[in-house]
Order: sequence, then C-alpha cells, then structure tokens
Amino acid sequence: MVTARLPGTVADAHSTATAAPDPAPAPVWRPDDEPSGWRSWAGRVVHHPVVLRLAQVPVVAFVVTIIVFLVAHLLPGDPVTQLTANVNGITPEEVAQLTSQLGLDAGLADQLRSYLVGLLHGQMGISFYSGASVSSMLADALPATVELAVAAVLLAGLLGIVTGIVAARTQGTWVDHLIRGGATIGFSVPWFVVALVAILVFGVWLGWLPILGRLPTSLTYEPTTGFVLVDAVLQGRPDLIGPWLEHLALPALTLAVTSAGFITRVTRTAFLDAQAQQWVRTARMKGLTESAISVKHVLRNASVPILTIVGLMFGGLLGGAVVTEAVFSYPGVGSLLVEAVTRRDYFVLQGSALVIALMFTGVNALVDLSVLAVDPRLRRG
Amino acid sequence: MAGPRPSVVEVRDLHVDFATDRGPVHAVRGIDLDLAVGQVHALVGESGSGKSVTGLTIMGLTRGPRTTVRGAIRYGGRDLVQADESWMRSLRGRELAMVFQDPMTSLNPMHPVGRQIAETLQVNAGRSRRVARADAVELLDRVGIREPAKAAARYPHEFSGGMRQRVVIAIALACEPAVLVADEPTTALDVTVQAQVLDLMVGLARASDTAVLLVTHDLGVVARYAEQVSVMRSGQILERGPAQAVLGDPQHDYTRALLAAIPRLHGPRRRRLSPVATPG
Ligand SMILES: Nc1ncnc2c1ncn2[C@@H]1O[C@H](COP(=O)(O)OP(=O)(O)OP(=O)(O)O)[C@@H](O)[C@H]1O
Ligand SMILES: [Mg+2]
Repeated sequence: MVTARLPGTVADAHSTATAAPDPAPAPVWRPDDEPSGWRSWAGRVVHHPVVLRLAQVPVVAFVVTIIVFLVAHLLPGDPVTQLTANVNGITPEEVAQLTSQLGLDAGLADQLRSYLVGLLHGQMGISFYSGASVSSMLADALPATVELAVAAVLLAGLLGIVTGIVAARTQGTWVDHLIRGGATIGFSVPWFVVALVAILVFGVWLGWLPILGRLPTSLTYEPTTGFVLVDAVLQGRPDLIGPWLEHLALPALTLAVTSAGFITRVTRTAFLDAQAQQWVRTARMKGLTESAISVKHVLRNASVPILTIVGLMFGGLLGGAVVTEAVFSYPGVGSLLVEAVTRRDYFVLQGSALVIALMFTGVNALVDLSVLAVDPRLRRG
Repeated sequence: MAGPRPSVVEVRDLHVDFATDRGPVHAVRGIDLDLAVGQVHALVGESGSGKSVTGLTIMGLTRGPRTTVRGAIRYGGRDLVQADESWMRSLRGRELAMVFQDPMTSLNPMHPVGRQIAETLQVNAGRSRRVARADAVELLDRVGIREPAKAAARYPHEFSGGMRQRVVIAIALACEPAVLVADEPTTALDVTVQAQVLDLMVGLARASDTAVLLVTHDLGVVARYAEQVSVMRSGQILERGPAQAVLGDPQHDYTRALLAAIPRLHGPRRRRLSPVATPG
C-alpha cells in the first residue's frame, strides 16, 4: 500500500537527502574512525564496559578478604578462650599447645599469607569446632541462602514494581496515596519487628507456618545440588516442595516486605518521569492504547532505575538475610556467619563473609550488565 | 496544484481552555480553520498564540480532566470534539498524524527506529510484525535515510536531529493519513537541513493527498509551501486567505509586523539551499 501511493516525490526527496547529509551527525562509531590492528582491538576489549565491570569482582573479593581477615583477628577475644571456656583447670601449657595446633601462634602477616595461599588452592580452612572444611559447610549453606535471597527479591520486586506502576497510573488519587503510605510504613519499620510480628502471628497464634529451619526434621533429604527445588525434580521428590515453601515463606516475606516499599517508590517515580517524556506523545499519536504505552514504552524506559534499585536491594537483603536466618534458625550462610562471629571461628567467619561479599558484588555486576543490555545509549563505554 | 479542493477538516468556533493552578487559560478562543485535501495550510503567529494547542486539539491530544474544548472539528462526517477517546485513538496514526517540534525527544530512546515505525503499521494497518518491519525499512528509504536496512536496527541517539525528524515523518506518514499536523517540524533543526526536511515532508504528504496543517514561525516557509495561511494571535485568527494574497497584501497590522520581521522574504524566494558538498 505504501509502495503503491507514494512514488511521486520520493526520488526527489531521496536525492536531496543523499546529496546533503545533516551537518551534525551524532557521534556514531565507524570502522574507519578506529586505528586498526590487534592492539586497538585489545584496547577496545579491555575498555569495554562489560569487561571493566567484571574485572572489578576479583578486586573487590581480594579487598574484602583482607579486611575481613583483619577484623576477625583484631576482634577482642580469640578461639582458644572460646573453645576452653567450659573446661576446668586448663593449664597455660595446654592453651599454648592448642594455640599452636590451630596455627594461631604465627604472626598475623604469616597467618594472612598462608590463608591467601590456601584460598588460591581452593582451601578455605576448617572449623575449629566441628573440624569440617569451610568449603563443605558453605556448599551446604549457600544454596539455602540463595533460595532465601532469590525468593525475597522476587517477592519484593513483584510487590514493589506492581504497586509502583499502579500508584503512577493512578497518580493523585486515593489509590496512589494508599500505596505510598503503605510503602513508607514498609520501609520504615525495622525488619526484626516484622520478623517478630510474623513469627508471633503466623507461627504462634495462627500456627499456619513453621518458624524454624528449612525443612521439617521428619523428612529425609539427601542434597544433590543443595537447591531443594532442583533436587525435588532431579530426585523425583515432589513431597519436598510443599514443606520447603512453607519454611521459606516467613523469612522471605519478612525480607520482602521491608524492601518492597523502596522499590515501590523508585518504580513510581521512574514511571512518572518516563511518562512525562515527549516520545510518549508520539506513541499516543500512533494511536496506541494507554496500557500498550505503559507496557511497551514507559516501563522499558523506567526499567533502568528499577533494575538498579532491585540490585541494591539484593545487597541489602543479603545483609538482612544474615540476621533473618539467625532469627528463623534457617541454615544458610548468614547463620554460619553469626555463629562463627560469636565463637571466633576464624575460617568459617572469613569464608562466609567472603561468599556474601562475592554474591553482593556479583549481583551488582549482573545488574550493571543488564542495565547495559536494556539501555542502548550506554552500550558504547 | 492550486485550485479549490474539498475540505477534510472543518474547524468551527473552536475554544480550548485549560484550568491551571493560577486560574483558567483561554488558549484558543473561537477559531475557524479548513484543511483541504493535498494542500498545506500554514498557521503562523507569535509564541503563545495557541498554534500548538490548535494542532494538538485536532489530534485529540489536549484532552484531560483540566481541559475544556468547545466548538466543532468536523472530520469524516463526525465531530471530533464530541468523539469518544477510543474513536479518536482509532483515528490517530491511521487517519490523523502529527510531527512534533523537537525530534531529539520525540522518539523512544530504548527502541530501534525500525521498530518504532513498524509499530504504527502493526497497530493501524494490521500488518504482521515481519511485514511491518520490512515496510519500515522501505519507509526509511523513502524518507531519504541511507542504508535503510541497517538504519532500522539503530537507536535514535545514533542519528542526527534531521535524520530523527525524517524517522518521525516516516512514522507519521506510514499509514498515509488524511490529515497531518506538523508543529514547527524544523525549528529545532540546523538551518541547512530545514529545507530538505520540509521538502521531503510536504512532498510525501502531497503525494498521498494528505491535508497538512503546518505550524511555523517562518513566513518564508509559508511562501514556499502553503496554499492557505491563517495568522493567529492570542487564541484568535486575525487574518486568513490564500498564502500569496495574505503575504502580498496583508490586511492586518499584526501580519505586516510579522512580515517586516523577515526582510529576506521580499527577495527571491524560490532559492534552493546549496547542499553541503559531500562526495558520493
Ligand atoms: N496543557 C496546558 N495547560 C495550560 N496551559 C497551556 C497548556 N498548553 C498550552 N497552554 C497555554 O496556552 C497558550 C498557547 O500555547 P501554545 O503552545 O499553543 O502556543 P504556540 O502558539 O504554539 O507558541 P509557540 O510558538 O511558542 O510554540 C500558552 O499561553 C500556553 O501557556
Ligand atoms: Mg507551539
């Protein structure tokens, strides 16, 4: 149809256009702008935003390792005192012997050096208490924490984004005010208040949901991957899923409720900002419905701040998960960490802190990369 | 191409009021306007005189809880002032289209331009996604964008202002609308490309018998493209008529003042801007 009716002036228009391109072309990358050869290619790879971003992860890991090591060792109190606290009549000789057995008699620098060398070989040390290797303890605990954090982020993201969009679309009405009020309450109430209320109401009074652990002790569960959902599929154990979800519900909701409010606010603002842009008028001019405009145009533009805040939230959630896990006796990295701190179980403490830091930076890198994927303007660094 | 042609749009005694926090604004106060098939009707006047509001109201884009529109906009046997929103929406993009002033902000930065053109073909011409994408490439070619297949995959920020406005023109004219409102389509562009973009837009519009309401500050543009002109001030039309007549013998002091502000108009008008030399 277009072809049939337009030809008259087209050739004319086309020739003017090709004869005189606009004088101010946007800074578009052209192959001949670049010096050739592998050096420039290598330069581009090294300076590519994705590579730059990923390169930060090991750097952060290294810095975190050192800081956690120092903090752990400089904390007042030491493992030997903790280990021998309940033993009567222990002699100074026995204390010295234990100290040297645990490798704690060497200088701080030497201990750090051998810890780092061990890490490079994939050894994270052992627990002073159980004698189990830290890597096997983390292998058990990490899937539990990932399940909790992902469930919480999904819940918080869903709740926050949906309410944020609804608030933006009903801007100024009572719905908007209600949502904003709820969001403010959500993020101003401390998480432990939410946790305690949730335990009291759903766990104790109503008795709907379990408040401790990850699976009922009556269930036998031999982890394959450690992720219950995956294992339920792999091992053909659908009976695991129900109890698993029940145990996940309260800790995940506690974390989600306290973070969703912030996501609501950011989503609402980002959505309103995007909606005020001129190109929304172009979309209306095309005859799109308001909901098509919201979904196809506005949401996509609002997604950069939303993604960023969800990523940051994830970091906050990990912090929250540490203590939430302890409150709900949920066997994750957070519980390991809290216990290790109280016992000065150095290697466990260092290992779990390192894993949490790696998850945090890893997720933030992922978020930054997905922002690059979403916003074409940022792609060429 | 001159000569009487039937009107597609008849605006009668149109009033547009906005309720603002600082009281009511009477942006348009009883104007009449006729847009004829395949012709350009220029709307000129000082800043704030109500030109954009007039154009947006014809598109149904000023509607809202704080807007009151009175009078009639007759189009296709109906009154667009009374038409419900879903009817207006079905006309927009298909029969009524608009090109906005600032091409830097009128495209969605997150979508490739080809997709933004294809979208209007999918919504308004019932094209499948695949066919619409192919047609979008062809439209890009039509509006003078080189390597249209590659350009379709690029994002707005990779184009200059003039090229973006060509993309907007492709979107607006994709479905060969009966009416095109062009609100100062080249004011934001570099002078050297203004003439090219206007030539292109008006050429394509005439080829598809589209009636154009061309809002402009530039009386040179009126002389070059418009059959009819209406001169607007404070929401009213002071003077109207065939462009040659109004420009040649303005009846109103205000029009004379506008003309005096553009001395070059009295020189030879049909000059072509010499293209910036580029090999190939
Ligand atoms: N949405 C709105 N709410 C309130 N007032 C408005 C609105 N849109 C336009 N106006 C007012 O209506 C009047 C006419 O505005 P309009 O944009 O039509 O002027 P214009 O002739 O297009 O001017 P310009 O040449 O600067 O684009 C102005 O006083 C403007 O402030
Ligand atoms: Mg205007």
